[in-house]
Amino acid sequence: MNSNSSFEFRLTAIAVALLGITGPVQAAEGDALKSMITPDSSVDVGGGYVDSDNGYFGEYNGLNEKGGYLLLDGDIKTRDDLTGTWMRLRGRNLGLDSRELRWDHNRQGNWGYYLEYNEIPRFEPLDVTSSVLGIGSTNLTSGTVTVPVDIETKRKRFSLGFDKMFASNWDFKVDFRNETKKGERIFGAGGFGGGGINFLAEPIDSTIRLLDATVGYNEGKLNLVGGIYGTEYRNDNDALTWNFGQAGALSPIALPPDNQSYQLYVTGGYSFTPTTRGTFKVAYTKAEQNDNFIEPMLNNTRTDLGGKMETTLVQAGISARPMPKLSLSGNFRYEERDDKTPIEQYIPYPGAGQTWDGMNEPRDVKTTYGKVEASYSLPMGFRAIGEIQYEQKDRNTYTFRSVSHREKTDETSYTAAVRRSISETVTGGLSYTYADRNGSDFFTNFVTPAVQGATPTVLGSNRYAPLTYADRKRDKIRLSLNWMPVEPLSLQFYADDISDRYNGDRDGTGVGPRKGEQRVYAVDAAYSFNQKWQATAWYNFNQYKWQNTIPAAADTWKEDGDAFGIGFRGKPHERVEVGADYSYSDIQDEWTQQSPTAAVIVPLPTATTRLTRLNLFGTYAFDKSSGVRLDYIYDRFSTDDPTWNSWVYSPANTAVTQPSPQKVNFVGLRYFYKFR
Amino acid sequence: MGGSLAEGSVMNDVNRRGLRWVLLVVILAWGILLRAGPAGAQMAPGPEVCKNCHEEKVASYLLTKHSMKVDARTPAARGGCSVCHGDGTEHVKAGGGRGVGGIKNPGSKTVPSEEKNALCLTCHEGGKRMQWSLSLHASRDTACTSCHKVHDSHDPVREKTTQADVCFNCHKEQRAQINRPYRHPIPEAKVVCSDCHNPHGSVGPKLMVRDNVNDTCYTCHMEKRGPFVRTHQPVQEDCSICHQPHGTTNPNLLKVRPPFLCQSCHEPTSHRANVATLGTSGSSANFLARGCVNCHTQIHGTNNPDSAGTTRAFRR
Repeated sequence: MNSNSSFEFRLTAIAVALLGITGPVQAAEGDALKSMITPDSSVDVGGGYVDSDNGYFGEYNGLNEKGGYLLLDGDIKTRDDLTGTWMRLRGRNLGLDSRELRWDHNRQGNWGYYLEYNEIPRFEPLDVTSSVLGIGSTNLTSGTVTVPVDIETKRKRFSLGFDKMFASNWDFKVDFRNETKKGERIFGAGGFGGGGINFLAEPIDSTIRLLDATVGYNEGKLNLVGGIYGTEYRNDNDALTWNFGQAGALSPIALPPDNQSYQLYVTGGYSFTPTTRGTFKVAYTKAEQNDNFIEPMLNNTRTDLGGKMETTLVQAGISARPMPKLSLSGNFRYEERDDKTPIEQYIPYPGAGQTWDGMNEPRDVKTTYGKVEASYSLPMGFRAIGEIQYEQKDRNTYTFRSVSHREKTDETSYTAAVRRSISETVTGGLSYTYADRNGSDFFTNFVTPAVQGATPTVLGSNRYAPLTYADRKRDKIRLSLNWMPVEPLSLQFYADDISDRYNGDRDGTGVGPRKGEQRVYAVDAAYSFNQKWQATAWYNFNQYKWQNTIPAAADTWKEDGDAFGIGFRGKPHERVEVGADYSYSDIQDEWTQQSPTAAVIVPLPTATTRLTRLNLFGTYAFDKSSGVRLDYIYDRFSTDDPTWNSWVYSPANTAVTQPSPQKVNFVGLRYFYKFR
Repeated sequence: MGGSLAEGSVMNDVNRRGLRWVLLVVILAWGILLRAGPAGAQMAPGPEVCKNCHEEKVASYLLTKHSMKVDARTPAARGGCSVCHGDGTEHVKAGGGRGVGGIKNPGSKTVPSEEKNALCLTCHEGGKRMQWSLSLHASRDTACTSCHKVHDSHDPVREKTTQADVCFNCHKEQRAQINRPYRHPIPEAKVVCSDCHNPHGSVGPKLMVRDNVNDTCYTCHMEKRGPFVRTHQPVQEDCSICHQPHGTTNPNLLKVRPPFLCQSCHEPTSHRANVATLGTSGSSANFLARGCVNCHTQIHGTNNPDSAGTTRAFRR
């Protein structure tokens, strides 16, 4: 060993000794902190009981039938600080039809992946009895024995994803979802020639797939993401055939066709200065639908639609604070949906006097959107905001229409607002928006001439300006106020009032869409009695009003909804926690039809829908890591909605009814175990 | 000039000893610095000091991803508490107190949201937050801390079962709508707000997760996409022309039920001019059951190439 290497060895030994001195100190700290940084895990297992069959309470959660249920949930987490690795296994509702399970595993700042399985059921809340045979299949026939029919769908979603960071600035991410949906839903078909309405069930057996893969780059002021997003829909059922012995039945009915799309996109942002940032997105999407037709088309020109849709999106925006008190932003967005589906003659030309000519009608839509906004900071934490938005839509149309059309609509909205966001006691905002929508002249509707291709001369109906195209003026006022008068009490007030006025007629007679109104008022309160007891209360009033006039009647729909809730959480004993939530909704729907003449119109019944929900829970801890939880839920649904009350389906021995009221009691008892 | 060989040797020994001491001091200093953390934050108190007064905050922070030192991006790896709260040296010297010694509390209501958000965006500006600066949430003073509990490993807005309650702190109308009889399974947390909305900003309207309303709906309802042989114009343009996705008293989440909804657009010719009735057959069956859709079954569009007029009217 020469002198130099000996010297280096001694220095290394000193360094090692130094680290040796500090090591135990770090280890001691590590021991002290270890219990603090280990994440909580828990497993809950128990049983629940539902005391009656029900439609609404169990519609999506799987508690729809009287009986016992397994209650099983879990959340297991681990953490390795040396490698930065996390693992989490979550299970929810594992004993129910709404079960879901997810596994996450990642090394923070390096890589990660997840796997998820999720079931989403829907049990039809209406009661159905029928003699129709083959429900759930693609072929329905009429039987003789009437039996209860279960109508339900279930989605089974499997997702997985992976992400990886590399070279400190780059990341790669991919998410994939495969979702099957099986079951059936209430469907129907009119009788040929104006007969009774036929009860059908649409068979559902389809798969949705989504794939989103991105590459991201982040370097100081610059953020970029480029990606590809692919989607696919596959339906194993092409058509529904049905035969109830009716001549000229509308069978088969085509079911949704397979379709697919992909999108290429780049989005990014650049911070020019700490207070100035620009963002953008550019995307191109191509969607296709070329599923085989369920039967030959006219003249056998094609065997599929050849549907093709290309959408281009360009967006760019900037936000800046040129002065300490002044903030400015602007945003521009252009989206062009170009429907390149070939146009063919699908139905023979009908001759004179129709609003259709038998061709298919691809739909193009171009949307141009712009927004500028300025806000200025005022004394006492106030801020004044001014905003202008503009949106223009261009849509294509065809010569013969059953709905009036204008090529272009444009809407400009102006907003003035004042906000106070910086205060310990009172924050909130008040804004007013005025919007004005109009557009190009409406096209004149003609009916078809006797000879296809001839210049149409006979006028069609030109009375309505459709809801989506009509000139509209909108006033919108919104108030929000958060007030903490004393430390344990916080109050919140919210009011939203929107009024739309439509110029819905084209002929000056006052027909067409007239008005739309919406009001929402809400009050919330929260109070902390002390660290162990807290209470909340809230009230909501929602009102929607809509007016449309047809030649025979001025129609109004009005919905008033009152809802309130109260709740508390408490810890009366160091081992006991309790809580309660009660909510109640009362919704009134009213439809009126006022004849402009002396004609008698049979009034429609109003509908009152009420929902009550009481949740009670209590937990008792045996020790720090285990205990029991008791849940009680009372759910009541009632309605006199006329939708199904007097309805008659064909075949005559089919009945769809809306059971009301529905009262459900649920009791659940679980043992929970927490660990680290 | 120059000394003897022996003198040179002594000098070499002296120099070598001196060099050893210098190196020893340097290494010791280096070791101490290593323990103290990165140079920029070496003097700022970290969790081991802050926990003396803020035990709960430090305890909950230590359970979050922010506390993972091995990830060079985290506050833990870049100086601990001081990364978000500023250098607390003077705060500690003064014995603590709200705002004392220049300490910052990004959760405070007296700190402007822009200031709070700038802190978070230092690390979280890319990815799904790319469009944050232009979002309505940003321009209406929504702070990251308005929705997120940064110190809590169980951030309610990131848990499916509690997310909606966080959103309902501001979105009162939707709180009532999700309890209507026709709704998405939001109370059951089988569909959550972030399935459809990106609260951090998007290029779509209403903070939609995809670029427009329809593309967002298609992520679950792709059977409605088509295109079809027979297309229904509003279906192709925007699902929300007819549907209220948060919940209604109208079947199928319709904004207004048939025939009123349909009569908002369709010219009053033929049976389209009929008043709503309680009839159960033919064109009088326009209000009960599925309303106009009793007959116009495939209202979203049909791909049936059949040459009969009934396909034109979405009846098969």
